[in-house]
Amino acid sequence: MQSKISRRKLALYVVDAIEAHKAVAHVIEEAAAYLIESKRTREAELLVRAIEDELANRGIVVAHVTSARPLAAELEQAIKKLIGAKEIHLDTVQDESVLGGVRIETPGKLLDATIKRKLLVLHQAKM
Amino acid sequence: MMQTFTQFAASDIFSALGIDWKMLVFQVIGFVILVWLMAKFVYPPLLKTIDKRQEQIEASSEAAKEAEEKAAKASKEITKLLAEARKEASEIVTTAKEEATALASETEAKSKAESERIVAAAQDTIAKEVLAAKKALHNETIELVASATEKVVGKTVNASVDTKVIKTALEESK
Repeated sequence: MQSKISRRKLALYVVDAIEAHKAVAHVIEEAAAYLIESKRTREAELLVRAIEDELANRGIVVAHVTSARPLAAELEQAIKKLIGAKEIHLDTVQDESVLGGVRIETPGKLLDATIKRKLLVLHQAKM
Repeated sequence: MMQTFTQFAASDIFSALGIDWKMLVFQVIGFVILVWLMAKFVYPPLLKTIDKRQEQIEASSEAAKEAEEKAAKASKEITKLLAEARKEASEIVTTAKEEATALASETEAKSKAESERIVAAAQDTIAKEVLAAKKALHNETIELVASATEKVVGKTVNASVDTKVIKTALEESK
């Protein structure tokens, strides 16, 4: 019987492969195939988080940035500067429901400066 | 001679006085008989009746005296009882007055405490209602502000404003 590989070890394998300049798509396919084979597809999201955490530990930060409009290059640079890691990859998402501002999520940190969030805080101020 | 003189004298005197001595003797005998009859048959029951009546009178007198004494005693007793009753009534009235005063004081104190409690409860209720109204007003204001802001921001925020908002946020989070 095949022993179960922990999510942490799987993330380490993927990050090691990426750092070894293996084809990222191929490595991701391998990991996905393993999850399907071991019937752990529900852990896909968690595995991605684990990979991002491991990358962050090695100075490579994947930041999920949400804004109502496409970010100008100037703003992307400012965000990267704010994160301050060795290597930063921005995963930008455009979501008009946030109305304005920006939401930056990195492993272990979250900056939600959207107008939607401010309105939500205002709503929560209700007694 | 003497006897003759006497007979003569007597006969003479009686005659002079118009008294028939025979008739006198007869009358004396009749009187004696009458006295004897009276003493024999009339006086004893009469004296007995008188004695009985006297006894009755004395008994009545005694009874009257006794009754008078009893009445006097009863009168004294009544006077004493009346005095005691008056004293007792006075004490009862005094006690009743004291109790009424105490009851009035107690009732007044209770009424005061109750009124203070009602006032405090009313003030508490009013304060709660004011607080609830303030909360409701606060929440409605927030709701209105948030709703209006959401609608206005959705229409007014352009790329330039959005950039400024993002820059400000990034500056503030440094």
